[in-house]
Amino acid sequence: MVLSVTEKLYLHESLVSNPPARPDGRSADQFRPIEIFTDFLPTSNGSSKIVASDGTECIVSAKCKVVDHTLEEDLIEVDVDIAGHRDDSPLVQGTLSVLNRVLLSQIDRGSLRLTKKYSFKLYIDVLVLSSYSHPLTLISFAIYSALNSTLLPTLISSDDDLDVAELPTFHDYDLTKLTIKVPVLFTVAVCGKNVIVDPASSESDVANNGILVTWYDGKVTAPVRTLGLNEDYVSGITPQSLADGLKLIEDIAPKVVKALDS
Amino acid sequence: MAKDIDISSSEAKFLIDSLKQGFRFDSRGFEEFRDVGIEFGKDFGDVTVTVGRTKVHCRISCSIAQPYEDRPFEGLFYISTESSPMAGPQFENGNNTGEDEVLCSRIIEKAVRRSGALDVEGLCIVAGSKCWAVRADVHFLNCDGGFIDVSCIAVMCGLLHFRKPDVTVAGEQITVHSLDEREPVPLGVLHIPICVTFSFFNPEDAEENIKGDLNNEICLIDATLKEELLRDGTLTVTLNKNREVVQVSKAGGLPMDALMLMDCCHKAYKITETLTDQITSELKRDADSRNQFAAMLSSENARVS
Amino acid sequence: MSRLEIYSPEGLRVDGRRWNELRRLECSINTHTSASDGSSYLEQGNNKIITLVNGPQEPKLRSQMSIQKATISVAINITRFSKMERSKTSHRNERRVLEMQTALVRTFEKNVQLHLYPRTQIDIQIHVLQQDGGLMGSLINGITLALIDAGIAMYDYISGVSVGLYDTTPLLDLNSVEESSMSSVTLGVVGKSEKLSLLLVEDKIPLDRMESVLAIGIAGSHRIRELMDRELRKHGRKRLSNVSSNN
Repeated sequence: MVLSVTEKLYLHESLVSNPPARPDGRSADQFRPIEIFTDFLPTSNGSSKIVASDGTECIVSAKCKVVDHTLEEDLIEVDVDIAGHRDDSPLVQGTLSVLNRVLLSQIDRGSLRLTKKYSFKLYIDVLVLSSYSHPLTLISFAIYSALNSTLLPTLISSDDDLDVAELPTFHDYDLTKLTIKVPVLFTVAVCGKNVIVDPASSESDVANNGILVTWYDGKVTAPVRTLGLNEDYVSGITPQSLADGLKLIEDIAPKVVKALDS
Repeated sequence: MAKDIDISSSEAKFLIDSLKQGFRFDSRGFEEFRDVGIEFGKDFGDVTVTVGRTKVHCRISCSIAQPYEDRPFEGLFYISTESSPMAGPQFENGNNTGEDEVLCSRIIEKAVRRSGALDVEGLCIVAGSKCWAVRADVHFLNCDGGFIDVSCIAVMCGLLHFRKPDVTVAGEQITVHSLDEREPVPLGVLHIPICVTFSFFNPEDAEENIKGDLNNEICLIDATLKEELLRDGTLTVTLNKNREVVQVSKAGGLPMDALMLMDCCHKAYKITETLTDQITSELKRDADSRNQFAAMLSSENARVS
Repeated sequence: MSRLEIYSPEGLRVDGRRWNELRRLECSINTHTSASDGSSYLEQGNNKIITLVNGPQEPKLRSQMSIQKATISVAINITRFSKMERSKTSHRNERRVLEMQTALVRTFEKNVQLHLYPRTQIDIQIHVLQQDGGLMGSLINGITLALIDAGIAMYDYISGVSVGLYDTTPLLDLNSVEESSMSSVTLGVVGKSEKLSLLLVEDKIPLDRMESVLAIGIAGSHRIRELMDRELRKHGRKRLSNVSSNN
């Protein structure tokens, strides 16, 4: 929805006031309700669908393939498709680069290892059906729940296959759950001195800046980036806001991850 | 096919009204295919086909290439259809992503390539490493409707007429013999698919077409450009002489009764028969003219056996 | 791998169906209310398809506008994970997909009352989450449902199904295993009539068998129309009761 200059000004004023007054009545550290469904695609090893209350919807599929990890550089491949945006648009490319960076640098190659020679390679395909606010947080939640519901075939051949020229063999129907620690991403909007989590589209339109925070294995890790959420209100970011933003995430991330796990 | 050609509404109305009364602009019957002219060039695989004022040129060529890894015993076969402003002002140069161009090339592809009209296994020279790559380049020279039908005839005539150089294989070493050195070999053509396009016109309003039981839609064979521009729906049936349906494409358009469509298939079969016969006789005539001294050199004589 | 028995002498197919049985068909409409004006989610066997309809709305490009009637555009997104084996390349600009889009546009052009919405555009977006044979038929069913949900005036339902020919037996509603081992025909049937809006044959079929194939296809499409109609009426009743209970 396109807001008028006056509406934007009003919204901005209310967000910078102390405490921030958000248009939907949330507190600064409150998320919008989301719904997650997992494991609905039988041809994928893991799948999830996430729907936010504003209608943002995202579907993630995880498929695996056995590869020789001495030859294969990356064991995770991410592909992002956002409906209505071309593959070479800045939004898709930006999202893809962040996800690649986060997943490749954080996820431990060892957790995908199968034998001494072979590993699973994970193909993560993201399809964003509709997005109204910045979709990265939702995508990362969807990837988190997809990977945590991923089932892989159980290995029955020997683990030590360096000298045998045979592909690993699997049990006919037994599946093992993938145990992997997955990073989640949070977007924080900076409005004046306030920091608010999970900005809605109207809030993104008037935020002074956005911070992207990665949460992995119980702590904030790299990359932490700034996100330009709009063109009219963008200003520099102060060290204080950055610290506030990180503090906010440190407070709420454990609760979010717990909710995603349940 | 053409988007930028507009027909004045009075001409359009006149055409539809005459169709309702059973007349076509070129005084053909509704189920009459225009006369097909097949002209072979000097080289093998060089064919120009004219149907009415539509003119299509097809050139077959071949080269040695590497087969696909998953199909080591099969040669390669490409069909490329090229439309240029030469055919008519409605075509753009180098732009063949228009809806009609895609449909046209896909139908030819399905009719000839997917149906296995060309024996690709016969193109294999050394399994997995060398095979013939046969290319059919179709050029539209003049457009007056019926591109699919005419191109299909042109491609098939080209394939039947083409001769590839003979090769001898000794281990991995292969020798390609020039045309003067050894008699070139024809391609293995397994069947001759013939496309027949029907154009449908709705004489009543849309409601009658969908809800009514009249089924009095007009059905034309081999429409001209003007008829193509005004038609409400189209159906392309591809058949061969063995009474096999190779491909049918009715991609939307005016809904038609299933029995009428079946009827179209049967009508198309009759046309397929006559066209196939014409193609074989034209080919025979061309072969005879190339070999006019055969009778003189032959040791056969007219003795009674 | 041993060769699968496509059609056993007892008359059973790979998934246990008889020759004239459809796959499980489940559909729902109004699934993506905020993303579109009309939407549907269709499961036909293992085909899973989301269809979103937006419009009638102002065309994005003036050149696409027609003064007399609305224009339809169809965009098919076949996801890379939709088959068992993940595809290495995106399907978006494949000629096969372009052909399908054109065929769908032309199918619905004649069935939507476009003259009621001049100077507008109706955008249809399809996401194929999973495919298992007979894709074209399922796409038609999905679009029909989504267009109805969007409240766009149509003359009738169009229901689609594929029929294969195994030796001399026609098999209704093929899955991907069957589709890859025999020739198939895709039909798009208008309402309860015997009129075909779409008919595609891509492989060889004896001319004399066509009639029996079409007959079973039309019967199957009518059954699909009934299933879709039942779901729509159920949905309509639910919404109506919501409205009346709110007053």
